[in-house]
Amino acid sequence: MKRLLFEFNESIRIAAQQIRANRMRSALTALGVIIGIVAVTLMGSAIGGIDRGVNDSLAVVGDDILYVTKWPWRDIQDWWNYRNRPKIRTDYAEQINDYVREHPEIPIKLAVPADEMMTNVYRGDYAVNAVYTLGTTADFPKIGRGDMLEGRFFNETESRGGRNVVVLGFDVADALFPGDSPVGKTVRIRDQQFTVVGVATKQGSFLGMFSWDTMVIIPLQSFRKMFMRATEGAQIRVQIDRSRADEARMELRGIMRRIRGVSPEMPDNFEINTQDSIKKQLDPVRNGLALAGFVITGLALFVGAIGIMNITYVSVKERTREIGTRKALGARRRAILLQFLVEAVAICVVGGVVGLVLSGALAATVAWLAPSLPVVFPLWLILFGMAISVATGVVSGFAPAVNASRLDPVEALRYE
Amino acid sequence: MSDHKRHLGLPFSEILRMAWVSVCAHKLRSALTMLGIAIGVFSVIGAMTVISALQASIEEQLNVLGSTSFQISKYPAIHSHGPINPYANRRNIVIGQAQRVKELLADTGATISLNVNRWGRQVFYEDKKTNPNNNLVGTDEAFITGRSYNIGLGRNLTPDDVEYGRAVCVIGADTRGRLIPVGDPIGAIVRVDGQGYRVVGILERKGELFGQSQDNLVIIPITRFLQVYGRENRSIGINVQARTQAEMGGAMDRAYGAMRVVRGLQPEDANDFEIFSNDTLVNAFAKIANVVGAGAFVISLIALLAAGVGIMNIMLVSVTERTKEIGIRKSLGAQRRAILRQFLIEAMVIAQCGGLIGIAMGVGGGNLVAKAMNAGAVFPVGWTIVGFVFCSAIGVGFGFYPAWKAARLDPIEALRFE
Repeated sequence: MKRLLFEFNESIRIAAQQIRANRMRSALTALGVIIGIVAVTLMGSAIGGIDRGVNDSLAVVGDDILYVTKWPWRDIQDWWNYRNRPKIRTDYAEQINDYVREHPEIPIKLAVPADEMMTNVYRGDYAVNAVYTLGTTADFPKIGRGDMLEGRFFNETESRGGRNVVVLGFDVADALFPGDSPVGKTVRIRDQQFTVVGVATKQGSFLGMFSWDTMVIIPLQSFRKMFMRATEGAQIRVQIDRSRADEARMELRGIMRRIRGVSPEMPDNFEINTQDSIKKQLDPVRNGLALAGFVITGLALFVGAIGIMNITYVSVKERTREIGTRKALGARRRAILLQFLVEAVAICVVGGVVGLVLSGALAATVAWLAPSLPVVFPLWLILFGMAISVATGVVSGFAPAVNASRLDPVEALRYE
Repeated sequence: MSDHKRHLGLPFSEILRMAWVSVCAHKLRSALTMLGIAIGVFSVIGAMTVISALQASIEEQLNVLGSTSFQISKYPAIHSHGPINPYANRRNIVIGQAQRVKELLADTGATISLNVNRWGRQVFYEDKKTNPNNNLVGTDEAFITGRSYNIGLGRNLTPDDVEYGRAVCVIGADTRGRLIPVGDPIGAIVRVDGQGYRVVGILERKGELFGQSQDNLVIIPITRFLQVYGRENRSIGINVQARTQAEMGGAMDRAYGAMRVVRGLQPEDANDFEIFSNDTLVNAFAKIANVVGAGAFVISLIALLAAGVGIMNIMLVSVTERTKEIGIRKSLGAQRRAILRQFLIEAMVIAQCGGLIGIAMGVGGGNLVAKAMNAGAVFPVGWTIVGFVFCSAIGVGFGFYPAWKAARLDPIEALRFE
């Protein structure tokens, strides 16, 4: 053991000496590894960024909500199997809440009905087109994450009475009332005047495609009055206990089947969605990108590894006589193997460190130049980068090192 | 030429031979360097082959229309069915307008066919029925050529069918397979929305577009369609088939003019209709494909860059090892340019050999991946050339410094080198 340690120390010393002696060569070899590591870690950073973007965007709506809808939230080809499902009625929420009151032990907390529609909102000459309009009850803030920037959410009385009151999303308020407080003023939706009671705080957008701030919330009763034809968007949002999510889902399914009167042999005629359904929809794209990205950047690293192998072979060849001398003086195979392996790994580790610093700096620059792009550079990426650079060194240095260790001392000494 | 020879000392073929000899002298080393380049080129060519193959297979599927035809409609061919539909507020193209356009374009000699659709129909035959995903098309005899369908069995609609509004239909291959899988379908009465239509023809299978069948349709005379469903609240599509491909552009220009006249648009108004042909669809798709391709190209180039560093490194080793040889050549009168050239060519030989291997691997591997994704095989000639040029450039670019270093060696120092 002691001997191994000594050989290891000696190898490091020799490696350092060799790297110093062939500065240019070592630098170029390391550069090959650096290019590979930068490519791989930046790809990892980009993929991590996509994940974080999705999570951040979804966190806005709360991850403890189940959505009961008619249509599943995934791409379906056989739409005819879902078309004839009865609509989701908003009074199911009441029934679910009644059940929850009677059975406080189940992991379901609160059900809130919601219906959605795209409309235009006007104020005098100002207009905002295609605003996501949500009709819901006064319970909505209890399950939501958003806060009020100004004013308040509509209350129970306004909700039940179907008063014409509205809570504006940040962007809508900004567009209709530039530099002015909208609370107490009126806006027009369809042909109805609505009094603004509050403005929600800024919540950001979903991957830059859909802004949570381009929305208005009105009482469900007023929503029903205005959009007479029941929309397909009706849904029940159910807040659950996150720690017992599966149980909650089962329980909710049971309650819904009871409410809908689905007989035991029939399949569900409703869908229980979670945010994961959205994530799952994005997963194939993300995984495809990640696979293609890592394969292509992995090739760059592979090329770097070939460079190391090549230069280690050269190094073995140049130092054949030295190896012969060491062997003649009693160095074991192991010592020679270790010597060259340590040299290869050392170059890789240097390359890895430089590569990680470079890609960290690049990621930071991107984050600084374009703050809207979610860029991450987590610890695991650093560890991963270091691990693959060491692995690269071992794998690519192994064959030449074995070659060196197998040299016959007599032949090696005679080598010209 | 003789002038050249005097300057460079050796003929080109001799330099090439020398390069090859020195490549062969260090087989392992050259092979590994070549492998590096080969993988770099493989990365570029492989990625581009996959993208080209996917692009080709999608473009092939995009033959929605016939090769000489274009379509005038209210909605563009590709638009998202999101909750926000900016096209919904456009006025419908009503039958009167469509007929006016037909008259205005009569002198172009193009065949003009009107068509109107009802999506999501269920088709019944005896005790069988299809899923509610059939497209009921009211049109005339020119529809099938305008949409590049072929009659597989029976006959097409005739002008008489359209004239008299006969209750006859031509059905798609999928619809037939669902309703009348065996036996003679001609003469069978199928029902759509409670109306019976006698089958007079079956279309040949056209295949899927983006996973959607194009063979679940029922074609009936447009006169019959309007009789059954009324003229209100529907927008008519106008399909124009020019006589030749060459006349298509002219006909399209005329169609824009005619549509603007018929719609009563002022000069400053934007078009409130769309005209598209297969080319429009392919171009719209190619835009996306080009962006993806450019991204993939840049990322895959990184590996080639790493391979270039490998070449530089090994050439530097080679120069160091052959310092004595260089010294001898120089002292015998070889000029700097000759030495430079020798090492550059050596780098080029390695890079190009590796490049050729990489192209072979890339085209092979790329097509394997493309095949796994159900796309046909392609040989991307353009990208192959680009790949070869790039790896040659990498050979020259990264080989230059070592070659320059060799050329600058002082012959006396070089000869004394141990």
